[in-house]
Amino acid sequence: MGGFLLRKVGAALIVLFLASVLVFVGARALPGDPALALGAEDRDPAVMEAIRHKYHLDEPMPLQYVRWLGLALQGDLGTDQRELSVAHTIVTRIPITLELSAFAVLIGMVIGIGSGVLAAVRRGKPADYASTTFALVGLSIPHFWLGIMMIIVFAVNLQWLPAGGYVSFQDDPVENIRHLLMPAIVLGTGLSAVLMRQMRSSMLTSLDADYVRTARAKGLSEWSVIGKHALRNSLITVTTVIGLQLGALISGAVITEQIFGIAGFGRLTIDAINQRDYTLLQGVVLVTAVGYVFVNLAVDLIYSYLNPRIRISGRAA
Amino acid sequence: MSYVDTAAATELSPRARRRRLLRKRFLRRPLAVLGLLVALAFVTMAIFAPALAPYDPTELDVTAILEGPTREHLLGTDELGRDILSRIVYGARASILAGVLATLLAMAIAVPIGVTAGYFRGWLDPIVARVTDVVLAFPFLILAVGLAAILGPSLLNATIALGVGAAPGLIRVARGEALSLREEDYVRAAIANGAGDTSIIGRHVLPNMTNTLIVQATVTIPAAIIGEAVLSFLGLGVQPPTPSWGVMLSAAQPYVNDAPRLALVPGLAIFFCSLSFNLLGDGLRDVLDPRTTR
Amino acid sequence: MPLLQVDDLSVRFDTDDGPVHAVDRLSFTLDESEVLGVVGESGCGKSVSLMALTQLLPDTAKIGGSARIGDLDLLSASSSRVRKIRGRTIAYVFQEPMTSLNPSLRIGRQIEEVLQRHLDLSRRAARSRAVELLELVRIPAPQRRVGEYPHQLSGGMRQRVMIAIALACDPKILVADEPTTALDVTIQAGILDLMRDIRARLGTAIVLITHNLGVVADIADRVLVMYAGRKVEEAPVHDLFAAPQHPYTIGLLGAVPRPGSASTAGRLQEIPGRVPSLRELPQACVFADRCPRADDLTRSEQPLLREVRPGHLVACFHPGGAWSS
Repeated sequence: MGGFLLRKVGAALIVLFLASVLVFVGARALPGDPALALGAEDRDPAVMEAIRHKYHLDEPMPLQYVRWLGLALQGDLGTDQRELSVAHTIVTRIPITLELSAFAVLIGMVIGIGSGVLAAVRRGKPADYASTTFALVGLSIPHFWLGIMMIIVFAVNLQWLPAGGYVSFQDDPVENIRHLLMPAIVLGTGLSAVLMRQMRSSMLTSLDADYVRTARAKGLSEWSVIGKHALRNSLITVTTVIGLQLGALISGAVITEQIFGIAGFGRLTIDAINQRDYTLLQGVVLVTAVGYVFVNLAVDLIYSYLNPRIRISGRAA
Repeated sequence: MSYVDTAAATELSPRARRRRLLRKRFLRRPLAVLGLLVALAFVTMAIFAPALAPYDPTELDVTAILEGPTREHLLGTDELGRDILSRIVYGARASILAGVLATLLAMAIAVPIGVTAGYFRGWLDPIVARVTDVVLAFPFLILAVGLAAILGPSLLNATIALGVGAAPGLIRVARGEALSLREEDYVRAAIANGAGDTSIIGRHVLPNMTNTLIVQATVTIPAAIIGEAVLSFLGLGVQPPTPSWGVMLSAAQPYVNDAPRLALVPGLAIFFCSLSFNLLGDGLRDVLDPRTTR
Repeated sequence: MPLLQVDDLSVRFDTDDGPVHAVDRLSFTLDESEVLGVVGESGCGKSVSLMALTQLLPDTAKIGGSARIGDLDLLSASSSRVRKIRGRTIAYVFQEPMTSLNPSLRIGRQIEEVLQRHLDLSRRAARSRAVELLELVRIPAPQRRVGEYPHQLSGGMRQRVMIAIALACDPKILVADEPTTALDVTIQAGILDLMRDIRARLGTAIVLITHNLGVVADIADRVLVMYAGRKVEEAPVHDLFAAPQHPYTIGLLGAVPRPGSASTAGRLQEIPGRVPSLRELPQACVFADRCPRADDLTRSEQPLLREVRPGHLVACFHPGGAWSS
């Protein structure tokens, strides 16, 4: 198991390294002159030269990259246009987005897995059709529009929930949930739709399997058969799907924060692009990639742990 | 003398028979047929926009701002007095174009690379696998947003960005298919009979991948449609005054209180367009799956 | 008093294309510690009839008749009552050891489940009983095996685990549905040996469903031959092999290659034709269109079971003799 772990982590690190190169090159490829963005509004050549020198923009690219990477590994992602530490900004904003994402994943999993199991167990009956339709709608709806619609209905018309903003959990737990409820639902809809379909398909396969017949022949209650035997195997299959969907969740957070006016990490990406703030953008995208790769690694490892075939032999059967 | 004729005759009819069978199976699924019809409706809207739209979508009329639905303006007007219905009709162009072209671009990139890597393996395969992993380290939309930002805002660039962003996922699928297909017995038999690689790929690998690829395409199109809407929403795609559903949504935000209609209509358009392709895709997947019975 | 008394069991599946009569008025009895072999080709209804007893069939199955254990009729009892019987009084072993065990649960847990459900044992007691059971079915190193997963065991061992699960609550009846079909011949012998041992030691009655006559000859006391959902012959095992009465049984036995016997001088005896569709219940002998003795009588009337020798029943108008007489 140890070697297996090491190989997976190693592969992830290589991917990250290459991704960092991509991020660096990508940021440099953005149109516009960084020197201008960094403060030389008057376009005085001498000032531009000074700025270029200060930010090492006159050095060859590989050297700039190495310098940047070296600092990044130490936790220093440079300073953005407003002379604020990028790393600091990121660190303060990430918890907000993490909280929103965790909330969204929770909602997505509960609704998705729950409705998927229901649909499979009540196959062909109204509950099945309702769940399947809901999943289809959830897949096709542009979630940023869903967000706007929910704001119109729940915040403007019914006035039940606030239209945006963020209140931290420490300050006021109730307000915190009230503010995050709509964004989390919006963000979690896509996940729940995908999970519902996967879960339904997986449960139908499981319920058809020989070992379920054995479980029934043992005289176990129907609850036991569904919950302990069929569901267990299906959940393991679904883990991989969750991992794949997390990327969509991260992208979704970007827009959702924009719509609901939440000053989170996702919003930072948009701001950075709009303001052509390269240092900030580099830092943000790098952190996104790192986060995404590590979350996928974690999901991969969780799956390996849950699947007895892999756990025992250290590789897929 | 009729040797050649009968060979040709028996070669045509199985294929034609199969096509008829598939059509019958498809027609038995009302939802899939509905999806096809609605999708075709949107495509028609996109192609024949100038003929269908009652007004010029960029024509301003400052005397009729934010009007509700009337006989002259069936869906009302927006914040600059433009007819919403016409903007929706023209907006279909951006969405369908982006959706379909981006998917085609993604396929055109992904299939050759994926099949080559999966079939020939060798030194090419690990490189392709690594590069795909790296690119997939970024979520699809982030990638698309980044590329669109680099290329500059325009519909064409947004389409390219979406296509390139969707390609790595498709490369994985194509590679996986090629990898498993090359192990099939009929491929081994063909190799044993001395068939060359190109002929094997052309006659055995690619045709057996078409089902999976078709299904993937029908899933990618709605993702690309929504992707175009997102990019336009963020200002990275279609530029005003050209209409696009995403741009309309973005412009509608300040008027959420007074005229929710401005946000409702383009969103519904995106929703139904995406839904129709999803229904179509689901239906096709069912029809092409040999395991389903009807 | 027989342990199990089945009368006029009928199973009909209502499918989209019409009804399928899988089992037609099957009656039989099973005594304590008896081994009953149920023989027939695939699709003749042998598995379906035994699964019908404890309501293990899907909802599309309509079941008629009665099946009494003591004074309880299984077919008309409530599902919770039947669930108490399943695994406790009547236990099953199925054909596919590779897929009949849950791949994500440890062996020990899968055995303990039954014990906890029916006998209400504590976790500890169940665990030690599970180890005992693994010993009973002759699995080496049972302490270790108890914590392993199914994929770590071979096919033969998995089947033994299935038998252990079935025996956990000391059932009166063990229904083994083609238990050795998916296994190698050498492993087969071991499993049959084990079943013999179980019957001797625990006194369990066994219903052995199979299409393999060799297995039947090996361990059954009595044999029941089924064809197209009906019982066509029933006899003590020696009688059946020495003097088969129904042409179908005769044909089956003729089709088995036996080294050194006269029949290997020529071709193996085949039974021409195919099993009839189960969609209608013809008013005729169900074997008529494949039988060399068919005549107007057998084509227009269904023969009822008659006792032609003591303990030997056959449903035929022209029983006895060799294949074509």
